[in-house]
Amino acid sequence: MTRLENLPTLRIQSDTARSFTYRNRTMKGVAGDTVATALFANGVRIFGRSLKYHRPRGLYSLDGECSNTMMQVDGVPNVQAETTLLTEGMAINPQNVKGSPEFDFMRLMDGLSWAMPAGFYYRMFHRPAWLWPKAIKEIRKAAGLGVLSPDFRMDGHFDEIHPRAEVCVIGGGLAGMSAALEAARQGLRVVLLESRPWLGGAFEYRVRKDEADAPYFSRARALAEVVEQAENIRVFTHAPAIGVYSDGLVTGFQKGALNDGFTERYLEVRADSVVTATGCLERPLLFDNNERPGVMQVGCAHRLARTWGLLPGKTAVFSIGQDPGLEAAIDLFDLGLEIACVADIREDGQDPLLIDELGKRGIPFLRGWVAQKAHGFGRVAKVTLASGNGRFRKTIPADTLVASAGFTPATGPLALAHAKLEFDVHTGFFLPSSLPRRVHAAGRMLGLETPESIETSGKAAGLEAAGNCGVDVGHLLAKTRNYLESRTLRTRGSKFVIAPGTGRKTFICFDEDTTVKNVDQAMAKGFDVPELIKRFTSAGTGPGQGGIPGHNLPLYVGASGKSPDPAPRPTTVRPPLVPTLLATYAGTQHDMCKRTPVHDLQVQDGGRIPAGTGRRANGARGGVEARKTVFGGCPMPGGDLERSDQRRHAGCFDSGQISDLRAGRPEGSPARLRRGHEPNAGRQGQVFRHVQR
Amino acid sequence: MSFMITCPLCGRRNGYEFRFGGEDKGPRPDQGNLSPEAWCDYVHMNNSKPGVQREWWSHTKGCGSWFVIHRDVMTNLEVHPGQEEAVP
Repeated sequence: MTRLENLPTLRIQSDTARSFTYRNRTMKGVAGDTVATALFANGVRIFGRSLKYHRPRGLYSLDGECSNTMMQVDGVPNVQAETTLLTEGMAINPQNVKGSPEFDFMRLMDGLSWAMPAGFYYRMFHRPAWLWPKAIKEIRKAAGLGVLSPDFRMDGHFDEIHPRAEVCVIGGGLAGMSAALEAARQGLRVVLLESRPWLGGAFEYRVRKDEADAPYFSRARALAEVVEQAENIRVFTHAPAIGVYSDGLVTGFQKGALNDGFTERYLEVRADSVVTATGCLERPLLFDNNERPGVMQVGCAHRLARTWGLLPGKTAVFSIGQDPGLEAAIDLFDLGLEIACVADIREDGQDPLLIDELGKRGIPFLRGWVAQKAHGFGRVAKVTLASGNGRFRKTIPADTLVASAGFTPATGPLALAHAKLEFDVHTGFFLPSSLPRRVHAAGRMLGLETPESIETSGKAAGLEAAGNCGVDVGHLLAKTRNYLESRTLRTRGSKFVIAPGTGRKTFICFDEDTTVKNVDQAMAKGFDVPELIKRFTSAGTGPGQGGIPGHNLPLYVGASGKSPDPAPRPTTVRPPLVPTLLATYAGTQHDMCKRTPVHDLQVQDGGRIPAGTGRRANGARGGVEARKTVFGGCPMPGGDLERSDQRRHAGCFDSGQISDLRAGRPEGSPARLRRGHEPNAGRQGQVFRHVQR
Repeated sequence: MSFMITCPLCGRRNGYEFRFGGEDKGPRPDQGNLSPEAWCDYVHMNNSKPGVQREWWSHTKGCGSWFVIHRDVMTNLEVHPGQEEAVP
């Protein structure tokens, strides 16, 4: 596939090739590609098969929001192809596939979906009782993600760091960068975490011009340069935050770039104040076959072209609910994508300038229309659009459907910090109604739209955070807030939930293959709260952590009128927000122990060294004194040794002959010794601490 | 243990450096006429009430000292004795 060239927004070096293998075929990508874009450039459209129904899945978002593009990379299962940069010689394989992704022998499962209603795992095959153990084996064979071979060893160098900062900013978009800069200007140490490999967020690839006639991307990149050069801002890119806890503890991990000394490293940032500026996700549009390869989000289609130079297809239909969707349609048309039709689910409220631009290019525009069904076997061939009430329809041939119901804030870190979220009717967002102490929110996630208001809200959050750290910012903060209020226009977001007349193959959660019909079945069974429906249908329990169903599920349940809770509430999110390798958690060697001076001699002599805080040999032979103590003596002033031992270790002592309590004592051995036994030093550390107290 | 703890010797440090030593249940009961039940209660029974509680901590990965702090178990934050507001 030829790439678009000479775009100022590109993040690839087209002249530097990277070769890799996909299903043992050698392919070529370029430097700067992610695994997903490299495969896309080589014509791969079906990346894998889904968990339950083995439906084909393709590129949908580019931020790893769902398991569609999880692949087996160099033997590691469940690697997010969208967020992993391509390196030379990678071996990539699809997952959950019998045969090939295009012709999967298990694809018949899709036709059997009637046999798998919501919660079938709890309801079917349980009677007679002997059936279940057999059934569970077959179910586990049919469903699943990657394969981990038993002799697999994780390569790479995993590290961990514990940066200390006054302010920690989550999200490196315009708001996050402004907050970081403002706090740094007050002389504070700032740590900035950004999940993408570069700063800039949602503005970094857009060519629309702002009030000063500068394109958005140059504005974002100019700000990024200032942030990267600022002295007291420590920037971590390609570093998603995965947890936010009390007292300003933010955890995350960073993926190593080519010349970094680590494959991945765990970050544990301790800050006095936290700013979340995580921006927005796109709320998936619910219609029939809404996960067919060829259906993708606006940001995905736009970034494919603008960042990686790849057109998402030949002919596209747009079904969107936000102005950046219109903007993407215009931009992609200019880059050479044929656009058959743009349907906007909003009846009004679009930016008139964008409508004008659409008209100038002769792109048909339908107000209040929405995609109802994607047709096509294996990938999109036709799209049926319907008017909002479902009365009128038309079917248009297209190979790409760019679909999105509008924006929804990425509330993960805020929710983890125990902010209260409430549904806001104007924006259609879940907005924080009360923030925990020393936590602040800024930017697009608050419903702001223009770069100027987003930057100003970032500045205000940066100042508030500085105020938490004892800097006197009262005057400056009041000025910024006034300015913000005078300039703020909150997005009137789309509240649209589901296309009319759909449901059986409308997927609310891609990871777990949960359809809208499954949610209806759960509600019919009496599960009326999103949190319960999530458990029963397993919607939102997949590796994407609710990125796809996170806000659609409560909105759908709310719209059904069956929930006793009048206000929709998002389901609980838990860390880690982004799937994290166990190797990353494990980090470097943690095994801290004390060794005797004769340790090496004993090892040489064949002594076995058991685990524990104090290392001493068992069964060391001749010449080496085995009973060297680690701590030396632990003084026990007064008291009755034997009785104190009995109290601390109730039940530990057998009634056998006690050989040498004193010899056991210095090791702090928890068990009393029978004659001839070596002291067990396993819990030495704990016992030593208690004796000390 | 995401919260921070004030060690009397080292100051306010990351909670991971410390080890929990149980509720502070006051001085040990008098050994003289101690019934097994009273001793058992002292060792094993905890208050486990919501709100601020006094508890023992040890700075195991630091100076090693044992001390008592006040912690609000509802917010999981250290508080100043007799105050609602968390430290600092």
